[in-house]
Amino acid sequence: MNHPLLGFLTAAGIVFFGVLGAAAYLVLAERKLAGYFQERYGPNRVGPFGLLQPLADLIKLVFKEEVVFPQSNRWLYLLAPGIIAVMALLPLAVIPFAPHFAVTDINVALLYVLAAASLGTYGVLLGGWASNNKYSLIGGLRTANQMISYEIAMALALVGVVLMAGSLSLKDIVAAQQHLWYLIPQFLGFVVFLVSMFAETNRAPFDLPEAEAELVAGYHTEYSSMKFAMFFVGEYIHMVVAAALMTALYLGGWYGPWKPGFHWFALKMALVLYLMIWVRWTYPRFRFDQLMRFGWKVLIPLALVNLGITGLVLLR
Amino acid sequence: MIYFFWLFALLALIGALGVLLETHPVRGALYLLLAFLSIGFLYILAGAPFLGFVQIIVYAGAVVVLFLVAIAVMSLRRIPDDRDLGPRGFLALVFAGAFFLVMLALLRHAPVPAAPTPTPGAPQPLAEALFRQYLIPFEIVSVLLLVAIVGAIVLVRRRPGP
Amino acid sequence: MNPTLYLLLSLLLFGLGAAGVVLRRNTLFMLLNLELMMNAVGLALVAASLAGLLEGQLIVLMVLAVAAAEVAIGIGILVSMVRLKDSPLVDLWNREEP
Repeated sequence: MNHPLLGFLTAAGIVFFGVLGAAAYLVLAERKLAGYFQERYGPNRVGPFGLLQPLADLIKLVFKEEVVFPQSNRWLYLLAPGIIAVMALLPLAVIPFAPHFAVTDINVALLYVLAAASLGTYGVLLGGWASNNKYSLIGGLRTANQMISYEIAMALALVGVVLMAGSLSLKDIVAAQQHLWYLIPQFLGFVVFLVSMFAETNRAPFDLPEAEAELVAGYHTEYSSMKFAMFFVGEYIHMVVAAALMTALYLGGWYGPWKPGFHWFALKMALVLYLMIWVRWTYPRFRFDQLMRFGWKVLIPLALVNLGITGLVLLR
Repeated sequence: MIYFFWLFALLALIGALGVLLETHPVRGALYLLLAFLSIGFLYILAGAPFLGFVQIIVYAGAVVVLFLVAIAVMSLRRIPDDRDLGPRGFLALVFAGAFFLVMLALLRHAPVPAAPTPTPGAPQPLAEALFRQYLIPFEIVSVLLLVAIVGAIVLVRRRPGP
Repeated sequence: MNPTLYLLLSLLLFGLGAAGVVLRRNTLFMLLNLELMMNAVGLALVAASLAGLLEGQLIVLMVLAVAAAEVAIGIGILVSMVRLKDSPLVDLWNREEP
C-alpha cells in the first residue's frame, strides 16, 4: 500500500481532476461575471444559479459534429489541440499547493514551467498551419510572435524572484516568503509577470490570436466538437495554472495571517482569477503593432530594471 | 533508465534522418523538433536537468518556432529534389562517411572511465563555475548575442529605395 | 549511464547532420542540419560531464548561445536570399562562368 509510486499517482490524480473541475467552473464564473459587468444575469437556467451549466456545455460540445477538412494536414490538425491541453497541464506537476502537498518537487521547477510554456506555442502554431486556412495561419503566427516576445519578459521577471529566493524550486520559493511576500520587494517584477501572463494565456487585452473581428476565430476557426473543447479547456487550465504560479511566486503561496494551508492558496488563486476576468471584460484589445511595441519597449526594459535593482540590493 | 536512453536515442535518430531526407519545409522543422526534444530528455537522463530544460526552452521552444515562422512568412514550398546526388554529392558523402569512420575508430580507443562519476545535476555548482571561473567567456557570449541581434535586424531590414 | 553510448549517439547524429549539410541544396535544410550538428556536439560534451567534468555542461551552455546567434543570422541570410532570387536553393548563387 505504501509504494512511493502510489502516493505520487494519488497526488497527480487529485491535482488533475481538481484543476479540470476548477477550469470547468471557471468558464461558468467567467460567464456569470461577464453578465454582471454588463448588467445582465449570465447563465442561470441549468440547475440552481446555473451551477450545472458546465455539464450542459460539455454535453453540447461532445455531440457536435466532428469536422476534418480534406485539405488540412490530418495528423498535425488532430495533434494541435492535444498539445495545447497537455502543455497547459504540465506545470501543475511542480506547483506546491499546500505545505506538504505537491505532485513532485524538482530543483529546476521554474525552468520546467518555462519549457512547458514555450512548447505550448506549437499547439497554436501547428493548429493554425494545419488548418490550411489563411485566418487560422495568421492567428497562429500572431500567437507565436506574441508568446515568444512575452516569454522573454516573463522569464526576466522570474529571475528577480530566483535571485531573492536563491532557488529554482517552487517549494523553496514559497518557503522563502514566510515573512515577506515577494509582491512587495518585487513589485515591478510582479507587474511585468502579471501582464505577460495575460499575453501568455491569450486573453484580452492580448487576445490578438483569436481577434474575432479580424480573424473569424483565429487558430481554432476550423476546429469543432471535442477538438475545439480541448483548445477551450486548455485556455482555462492555462488561466488556473497562471493564477497558481502567481500565487506561489509573488503572493506567498500557502502563507497567510493565520494557520498556513491550502485555503490561503485557493483564496489567492481565486482573487487572481477574478482579476483576470475583470480585466478581460473591461479593456479593449490592443492592435498588433502596439502589442509588439509594448512587449519589447516597455515590458522587457522594465523587467531588466527590476532585475538590475534586485541584483544591486542583494549584492550590497 | 537504460530503456529510456534507447527510446530517446531512437527518437533522436528518427528526427535526424527526417531532417536529412524530408523535403517539405514544415515537416523538416518538426523532425528537428523531435530530435531537439529527445536530446533534451537525454540531457536530463545524463543528470543535467538544468541543461535539459534550457535545451528544450531555447532549441525546441525558440529556434524551431523561429524556423516555422520564417517558413510561413516566406511561404516556402516543397522543392522536390534539392538533394545533390551527382558526383559532387557522392564525393561529399564519401568524405562524411570517412570522417564518421575515423571518429568511430578514435572512440574505440578513447580513454573513457569505466565507472563514471556523475557531476551533481543541481544548478548551483553550475552557476558557481559560470559566474566565477568562467565569467569572461560568459560575458563575451552575451556580447555575441547582442551583435547577432543587431546583425539579424540589419540583414533583413528593407532599405528605403533610391 | 554509460558515456560511450552518449558519444556513439552523438557521433551518429553529427554524421547525419554533416551528410545533410553537404547533400542538401535547400538553404533552409542546410540550416536545420547545422543545428542538428551543434546539438550532437552538445551531447558529446554532456557525455564528458558524465565522466566527471563540469566544464562539459558549461561549454554546452556557451554552444547554446552561439547556436541561437547563428540561427538569427542564418535565418536573416535565408530571408535575404529568398527576397532576391525567390528561391532558397544555393545553386542559384553559383558564380556564372565568364
